[in-house]
Amino acid sequence: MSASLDSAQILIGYGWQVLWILLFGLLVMFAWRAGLRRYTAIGG
Amino acid sequence: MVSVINVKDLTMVYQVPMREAGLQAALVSLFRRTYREIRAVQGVSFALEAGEVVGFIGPNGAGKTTTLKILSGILHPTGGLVSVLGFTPWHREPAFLKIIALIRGSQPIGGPSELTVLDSLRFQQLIYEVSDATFQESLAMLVEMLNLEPLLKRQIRALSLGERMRCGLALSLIYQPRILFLDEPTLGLDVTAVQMMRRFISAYSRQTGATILLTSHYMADVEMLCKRIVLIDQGTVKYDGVLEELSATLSSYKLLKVAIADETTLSGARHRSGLRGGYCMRRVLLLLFISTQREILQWLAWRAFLLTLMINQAVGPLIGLAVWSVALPSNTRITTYYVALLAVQLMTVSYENHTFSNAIYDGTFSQALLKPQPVVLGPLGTNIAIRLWHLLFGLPLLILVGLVARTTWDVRLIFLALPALLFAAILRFLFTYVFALSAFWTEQAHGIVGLSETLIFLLGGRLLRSSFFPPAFAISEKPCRFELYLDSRQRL
Repeated sequence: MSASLDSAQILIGYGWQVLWILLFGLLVMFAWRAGLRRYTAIGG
Repeated sequence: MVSVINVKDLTMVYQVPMREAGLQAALVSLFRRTYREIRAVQGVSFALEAGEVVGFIGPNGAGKTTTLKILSGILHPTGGLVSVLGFTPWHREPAFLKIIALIRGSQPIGGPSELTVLDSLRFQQLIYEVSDATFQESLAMLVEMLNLEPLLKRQIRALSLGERMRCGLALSLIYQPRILFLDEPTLGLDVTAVQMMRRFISAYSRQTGATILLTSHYMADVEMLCKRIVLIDQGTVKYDGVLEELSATLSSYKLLKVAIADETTLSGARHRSGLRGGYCMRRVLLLLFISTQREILQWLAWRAFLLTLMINQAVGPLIGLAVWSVALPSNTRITTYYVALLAVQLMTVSYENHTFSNAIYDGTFSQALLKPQPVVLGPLGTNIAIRLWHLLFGLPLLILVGLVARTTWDVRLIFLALPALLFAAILRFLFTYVFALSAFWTEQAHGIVGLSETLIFLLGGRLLRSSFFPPAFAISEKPCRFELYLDSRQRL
């Protein structure tokens, strides 16, 4: 194992993941709010 | 007397899609939809005083259920003012949800049906924050009044309709709500069960002083239980007063009117966000823990599910490993790849389509809205439970496969991979959740969640990759690039 760990690259990798998580977190919140407004109870 | 429920000019208008019968009309409606407005409730006003038992009667489609749904916070009305114990129901504040109960004869029990009755009661205790002493006291009373003793250890899904109704009542009354909305509590029950139900409701109101608003199509229910009735027809109040005077007031009106139409499918209801203030972090974590625990408890009673879960997750990569190891025996990276694939699959699998959109489709989502907790904790708990399950059974399998395949283990690599896997799991949850939420618009999200899986497969690696191992970092003899995609597919 001749591993040379580049910590900056690792952090950037994690950073991208966190960014995607934030983006989808916002999307979920938006969809949830809009969805609840739209929600209709099914089956009377 | 203080009025606990105040309803003023309540109006609810739905839009329902309409079309003619037949293939041609169905095809046309694909592109051009016609809607009709259903005025379920039009300017209804009434008030209830504390401790009153009021019968809410009228033919099918008169607006009874809609009104009860608005009063219990499931639906947001189109117009009008509603106050229940000083709360606005559709704000769904936890303090409000803890003191009301909506029990529907057509759907007495929502939520997981794999649990036993006693388990479900325990979870109600935790969710509604009932103290042990109060719980034991209520339980003893309910067991006696509803003859629950023989049912406590049975699974909810194996109960008959009458037993289900008794348990539904117990589940709702265990937290001693001050207001009860009973929607046709005697629906589908036999003569003895109906008698028992009536006796129970009247005894309960006497003992606890709870305010009860009940709907029924059986005049006998109403005659026995309620002094006062509110008669509603076509969305408006036709009579409000003492039962005996009803016939005098409305002599031309036939009470036992034959209902022609079923209750319409409701649509277009407005609703506000369920995540409002009032939850501290500790409470949210506790509720999440409860939800996870409930999910695990449910699975333990469901062996076939656990088995298929493991097979689905493990068999694919294992077969892949076997085939590719035989095809390319000299390439040792392949074993590492498949062990990693197994790990990522175990970590990121997400089950929102099974939990969340199903609830919207079969209507149990309404019941989720009645619980004094953020609705999202349900699917979240399911997912955490799946992760725990994989940790317990998937991880040993993973290690075993790794050992058999003689993968080179690197502690640093594992250490680095853990946060990345955790992030990937969260991202996968959010990604599928967005698609599962489409069920609000489509009423079924399976197809759309399936589409999202395809999208991940086609684009996930390109668009949403996050490489967490730098090119120079070696996981085998040769340096290689190891990328973790949103989905569980990696590239070497």
